Amino acid sequence: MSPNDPVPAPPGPKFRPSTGPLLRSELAIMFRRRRTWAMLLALAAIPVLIAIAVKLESKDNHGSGPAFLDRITQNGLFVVLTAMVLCVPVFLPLTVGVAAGDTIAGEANMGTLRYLLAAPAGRFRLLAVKYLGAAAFCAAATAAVVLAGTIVGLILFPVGPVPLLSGTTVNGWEAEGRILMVGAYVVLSLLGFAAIGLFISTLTDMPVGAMAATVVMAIASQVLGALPQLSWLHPWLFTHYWMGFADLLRDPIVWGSFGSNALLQLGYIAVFGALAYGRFATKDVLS
Amino acid sequence: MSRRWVRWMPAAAMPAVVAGIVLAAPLKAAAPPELPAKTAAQLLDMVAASHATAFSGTVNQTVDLGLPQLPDGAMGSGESSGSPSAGVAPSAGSGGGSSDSSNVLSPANIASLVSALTTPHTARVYVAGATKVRIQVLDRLAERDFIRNGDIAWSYDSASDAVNRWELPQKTAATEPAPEAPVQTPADLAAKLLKNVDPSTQVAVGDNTRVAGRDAYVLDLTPRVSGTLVGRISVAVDAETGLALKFTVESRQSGRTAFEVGFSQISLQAPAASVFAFTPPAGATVTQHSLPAKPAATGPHATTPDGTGPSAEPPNTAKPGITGTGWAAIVESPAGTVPASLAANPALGMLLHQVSGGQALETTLFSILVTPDGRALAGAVPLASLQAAAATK
Repeated sequence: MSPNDPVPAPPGPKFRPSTGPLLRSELAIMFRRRRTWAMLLALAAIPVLIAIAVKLESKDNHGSGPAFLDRITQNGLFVVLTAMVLCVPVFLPLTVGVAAGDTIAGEANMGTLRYLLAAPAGRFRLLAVKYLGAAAFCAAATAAVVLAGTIVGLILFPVGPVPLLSGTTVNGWEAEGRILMVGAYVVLSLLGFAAIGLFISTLTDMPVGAMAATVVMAIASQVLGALPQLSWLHPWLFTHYWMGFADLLRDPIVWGSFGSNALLQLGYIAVFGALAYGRFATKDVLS
Repeated sequence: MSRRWVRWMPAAAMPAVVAGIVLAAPLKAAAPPELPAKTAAQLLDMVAASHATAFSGTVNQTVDLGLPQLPDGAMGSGESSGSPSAGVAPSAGSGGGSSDSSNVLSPANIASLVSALTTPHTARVYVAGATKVRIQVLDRLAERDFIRNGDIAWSYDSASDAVNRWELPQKTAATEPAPEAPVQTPADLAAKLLKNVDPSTQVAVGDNTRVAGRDAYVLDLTPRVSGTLVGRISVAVDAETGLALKFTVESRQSGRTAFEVGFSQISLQAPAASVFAFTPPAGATVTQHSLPAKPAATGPHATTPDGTGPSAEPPNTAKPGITGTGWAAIVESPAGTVPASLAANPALGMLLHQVSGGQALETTLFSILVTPDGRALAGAVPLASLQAAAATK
């Protein structure tokens, strides 16, 4: 089956009017799936579990455990930050890998890709809509952690002025603002990874394989990032700035990692988006 | 079939575009700036008379001493347990032939010393005059702050939530700007080094360069003696203000940069006064120190920071013996200053190895020898020189 959109559109956010309904139906399908909600609930459970564990076992152990853990008893807002430290390297890539790996391969596996392409949407726009859907999941996943963490922190622990990493104390509202910025940073960090997942998803008709391969990419990238012998490679790994969200908790804020992270993720979106387009536009869709 | 190739075009073009942007950026900055020619003596005067006393910026410190590198985080809490300031002392003090070897080996500092010797650091620096300094060492998910505001100095470690407070004696402009700070600005290092330039050092002007977007002259200092591991020290001097922007130590042994501190970004605007105001956060543990006034007559190195805190300084480490002069000087602490348990420390055990005459730390820039009777010898010299010096006693 030969693709029938006239000229290959350059990758980038270029939408014709009919993209809106397509995106809306994509999001509706995704957020109606039980799997999506199961993943969001699992993510929301992480800050809740942390908070309950700290509440039950609230002896003072300074400096042990993941970063920010020992601060929770003093201030509930640290629940979100502790959860982020745990979620960013493991749980968020796991769930985003499932969502991104499923984008094309899932449709192909269910035999619905044919019908999607029969609609006059064009392959580029279908790919763009699928990527936006994966990006929306990144945002929803991060929001689940932030929301659940904030709520459980407010319920179980006192909330007041928050000491930043630099030792400056800010009031609770500004701290919550910083936490929202951390959330935005984490969503941004995941976008390049979602583009990799999209590309892998165009390679196969087996969604499970695409999901696994995508998650493995995140793990492999972090392993490479931990080896000092490969320090020349580190700035190019998409996971390099993942933990840089702490720079938003300094006073004054270090914006450098935010900017570098944005550029890096943009590069990954451009390269893997183009690769995904090349693969998907030339793919023989049989199912 | 050609349609297929057209559709793959973006996939081929996009990596090329990204690579082009990445490669073009450094090329633009590569051309050395044209600056009016200056002699080495003029440059030395320029640094000494530098009028840039208020600035802020980001400093990167990289270390490549030929030591085994450890995965990030392998040192765990080591980053937070004290001051690795002594880690840079052998290179910083080598021009004057003195370094606090005894303090390098104080057990409390070993983990952080190991971290300082093997991992790079990024810090933000704020300076407003000689008595207002703030250094923020940006660690992963943590931060260490070193603040001096007039007669009061603070350090804050976010990982352990610990605050140290020092009351500095009056008129301490000559002492360390911020006690125990593990990262020093290129300006501090250059000032220490250039104060001690003597005929054993050849001073020359290198190729102009650009550091942090500013045009800079380069001063090359090369030891004339052969017994040292230091190959060359380069100081990039801001063409406009005379501020040292980058400080690079090259090893003679490896021929590569072994230690570098430089600005990656700098602003010559005076930082806001609020930057230097520090209030310990609620819940932090605050430790008080007071720094006794030191007689100024004992030379510039009397003010070298002491890793254990000067008030806790044992009397027998106050005067380490110095053999040799200039670049090849060897500092020796008396017998018994190094506890026998030291070698059993697992963090240090990764760096120390058994040699004839004791245990040694060998780097491409300096060596440290700990003898069985508890003496410590250190210097910017090959290990063999230390062994020879240890054997003559």
